[in-house]
Amino acid sequence: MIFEVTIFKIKETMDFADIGKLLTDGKNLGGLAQRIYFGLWSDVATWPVDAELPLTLDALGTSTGSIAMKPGKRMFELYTTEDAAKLDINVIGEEGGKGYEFLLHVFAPGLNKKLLGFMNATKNEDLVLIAQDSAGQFYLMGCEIRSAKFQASDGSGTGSTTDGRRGLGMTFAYRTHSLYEYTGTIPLTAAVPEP
Amino acid sequence: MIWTEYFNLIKVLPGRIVTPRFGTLDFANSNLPVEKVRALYEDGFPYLQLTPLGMRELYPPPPLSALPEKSDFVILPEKRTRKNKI
Repeated sequence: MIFEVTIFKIKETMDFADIGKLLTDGKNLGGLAQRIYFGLWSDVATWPVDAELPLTLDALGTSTGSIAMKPGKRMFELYTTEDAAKLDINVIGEEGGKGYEFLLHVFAPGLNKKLLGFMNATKNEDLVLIAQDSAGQFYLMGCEIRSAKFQASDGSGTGSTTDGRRGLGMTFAYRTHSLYEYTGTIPLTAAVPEP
Repeated sequence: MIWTEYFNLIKVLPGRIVTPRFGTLDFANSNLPVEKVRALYEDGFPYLQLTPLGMRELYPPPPLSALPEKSDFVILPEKRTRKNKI
């Protein structure tokens, strides 16, 4: 009898529910926060995992755990101009193989040598990125098997007129099988070896 | 009391960590409110460990009066053991 119940639960991996207007106090501001978090994919020691046996839609939309960095490594912050950053979520793949692609667009103002160095260092690197939206929700780009990649530069340069702007516009891409809210922490301080 | 007397920061150097609940907190700052750090610890924040003082003061054992009465226990009869004959 117990055996039969277990089989039923494994088959029933998703429990649909009614979905109403899910806004808290009517808040639904668009856009991203003015900080993006980035790091090297190879510097991540552990990754969040998919929820086990997700029986609710909420569980199916949330990853479990936090990223943790290798000893001596940490995540970093990148400033982006207000209303110049956005996260696009596109569906990719053919029937039977559909997934998602995150496209993170950011604009870092100025052409400071540190920024130029950032672009030089990341253009061919495997990255991990975390963006926060205006509602405070975080989105992780990167997982144990796939990294985020520098994909394109949009609007980088000096601008053509004095009422334009100098800076670097960058787009990062990450492909994944599922969309999750990231509910873990972001260490901006270096990890130390565990005793 | 400062939070570092109740909790140890583990696995990372003292510094900034972004938390979903309270935003960015600087754990090099000893003036973080204890209640905030405690809330993180209870959320399962991976970089905090309770000190012996924290365990005593924040999570004290229940007073003896809260323990079950002696009469609540069922006293089992002593088990008979068979002695081996030599």
